[in-house]
Amino acid sequence: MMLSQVTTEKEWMVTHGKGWWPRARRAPGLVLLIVLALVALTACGGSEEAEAGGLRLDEPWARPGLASPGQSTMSHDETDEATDDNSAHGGHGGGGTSAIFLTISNPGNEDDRLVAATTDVAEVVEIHRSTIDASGVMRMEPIDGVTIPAGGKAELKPGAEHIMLIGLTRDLEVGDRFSATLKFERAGEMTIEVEVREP
Amino acid sequence: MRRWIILTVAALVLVGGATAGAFAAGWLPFGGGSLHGSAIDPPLPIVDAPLIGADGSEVRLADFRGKVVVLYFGYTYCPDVCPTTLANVARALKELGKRAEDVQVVMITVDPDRDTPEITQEYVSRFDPSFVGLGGDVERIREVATGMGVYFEKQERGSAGGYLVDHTATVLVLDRNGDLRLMLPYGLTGEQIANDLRWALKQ
Repeated sequence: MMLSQVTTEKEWMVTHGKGWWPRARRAPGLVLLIVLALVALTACGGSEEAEAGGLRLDEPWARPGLASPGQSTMSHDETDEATDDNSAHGGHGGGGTSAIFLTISNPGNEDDRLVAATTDVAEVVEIHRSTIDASGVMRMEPIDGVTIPAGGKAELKPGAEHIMLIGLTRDLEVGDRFSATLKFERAGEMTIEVEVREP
Repeated sequence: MRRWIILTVAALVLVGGATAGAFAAGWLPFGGGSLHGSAIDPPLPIVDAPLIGADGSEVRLADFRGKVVVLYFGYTYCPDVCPTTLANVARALKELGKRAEDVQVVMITVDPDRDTPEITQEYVSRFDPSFVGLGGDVERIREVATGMGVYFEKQERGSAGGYLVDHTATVLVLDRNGDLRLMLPYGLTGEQIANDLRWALKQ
């Protein structure tokens, strides 16, 4: 992968190098170094990685969502009331939903378990699982945790387990970033930075 | 004699295999071999109960006749499967380019208690401004859904965020006459959906 990219860059230099970047031809070794560094940077920059307690959290992302979808019909009073007391209204205060997805790797020797999550961009944060049965019916349900097997990983992805954000307190636009804290049985709390992007 | 039998069987196997291969590769125009979804043949008439559009007016699916309608039953609180599907349908439209003008994407909410027609419209517009969101009376919505084999049911499973709605996640495609022509299972990519829509546009 890396090798082929370097070769492509080099080929590009050969065919396009003239006049574009004269130094490139004089110091091919330096160019190769720069290209390698760039490739390495790109590889790292593409994913958000966090490591603590032996777990590795890769590429956390969330869907875009609005704090107040279709709120034009709802008065501020109603919104505030619902925010203060979710359960009495059987739901959240009209804020939209989103979900956090990521891959959690566990290189350790013992299973760990994601049991909860918090973030200030949502009133309620739950761990949910979506399943699709043979007849195409989608079911989503709260679950009490996700196991990350020793030496394995858990993928929280669309159509499977995810961290559901209910009652967004602010709009999540593509490109936004926010932090969330995940709580694990063994590893304890880990804070991640989540990028909002299109699925 | 025995030789003839063996030769005949071999020939049949060859012809059969070649035909099956041609279907699989999509070389033969019939049989829907190149489709990712399942073709409905003959097309199935739908139950066209009145629904409500964002401006409060009555809307029936027959209003979109002349276009291929991509129909999805979902709800705006659905944070996972619905947005994935709608985003992939939006990608499919981009793939289709100019031909997308002959396609109308419609989402009917399965949660009309929380999703007014306006909220449903605002939700789908975020995926593509051309998408139409419809709401209305839950019984009318159920008639339309059941007519196409779509199931939905409110569930209370102890979520602090209020109830969730189980629903069929299949994408339905109506032909230009407004009949059910194609069913796309959950999980197809934008490209795969575009491929099947090209077929539906030719019908």
